[in-house]
Amino acid sequence: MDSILRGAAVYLFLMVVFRISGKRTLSQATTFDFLLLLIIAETTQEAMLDNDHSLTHAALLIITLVGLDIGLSLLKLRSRRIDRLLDDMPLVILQDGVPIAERMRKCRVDESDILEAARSRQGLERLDQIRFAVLERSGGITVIPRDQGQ
Amino acid sequence: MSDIERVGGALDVDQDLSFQQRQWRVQRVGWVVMVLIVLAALAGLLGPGPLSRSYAADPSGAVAVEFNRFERNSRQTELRVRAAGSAIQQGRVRLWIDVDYAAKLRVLSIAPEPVLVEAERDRLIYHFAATAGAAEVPITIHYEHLQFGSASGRIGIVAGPEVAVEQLVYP
Repeated sequence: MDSILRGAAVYLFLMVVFRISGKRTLSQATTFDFLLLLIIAETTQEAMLDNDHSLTHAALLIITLVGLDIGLSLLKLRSRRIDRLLDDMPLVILQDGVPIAERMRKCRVDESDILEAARSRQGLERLDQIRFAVLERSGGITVIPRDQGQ
Repeated sequence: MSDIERVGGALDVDQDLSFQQRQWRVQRVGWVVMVLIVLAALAGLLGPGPLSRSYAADPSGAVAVEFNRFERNSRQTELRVRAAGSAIQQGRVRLWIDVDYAAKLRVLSIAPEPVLVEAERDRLIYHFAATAGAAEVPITIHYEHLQFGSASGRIGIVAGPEVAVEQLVYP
């Protein structure tokens, strides 16, 4: 019972913390984001395993975590509300070459982040070449160039 | 797919600005809560720290115990007992811990080591060798809690005074 409660508690806790912290926190935009992810993984592991290194405990933990994930994904399919609540929504942060400053500030994205995405994914050089930039649910930025579809 | 918004007449995106605004507000509140949790932890409300340090002594001063009021499960910690010289009888200090409290702990080590441990129905008695005439006998118990919740116990000197230990153990 302990394994399952531990797994569920950690899953729910991480979900709440990452929803509160926002889309960009672990989008792996920088090397440090990646490091943070590793540190969090290591910290979580200790709390979940406690002193029980048995195969049964590991199996129960894995089943709990995967099971919760499957259960929640089924719920998300059924209810759009739950889907938004758990997984956030995409947000347009730049339209027709003009950054939408308020949204960007609140999502902790700046123009250099958009330009980086524009360079790496579309080979674009300037903001005015971008028709839309969307901050996706994953925290990544997708860029749609101006000449596409026009 | 009525929920999908068409932005700028071209981009179909599942965007909802009022939801987004609500979410930002909740996130700000969440950040404040996280700061409060960190401050509470620094103050010692979630484990060891200034507000957690606790001291219990009997009025005569024959036995005093220092411990953390707020502890965490499985965390190695210590409880310091100071027995006054008056507690030494026949070269020994006999310290007892009630058995219900002792059952919630895993004692890792005791310094100095007891020369003998006796089990009674409702308490464990630890015998420590002590020099007659010593002003005070300090005893440190290194231990960890085995379960979370409240842990209250009594610690005392055999045929002498006792003190109560009240702790809240976080998971």
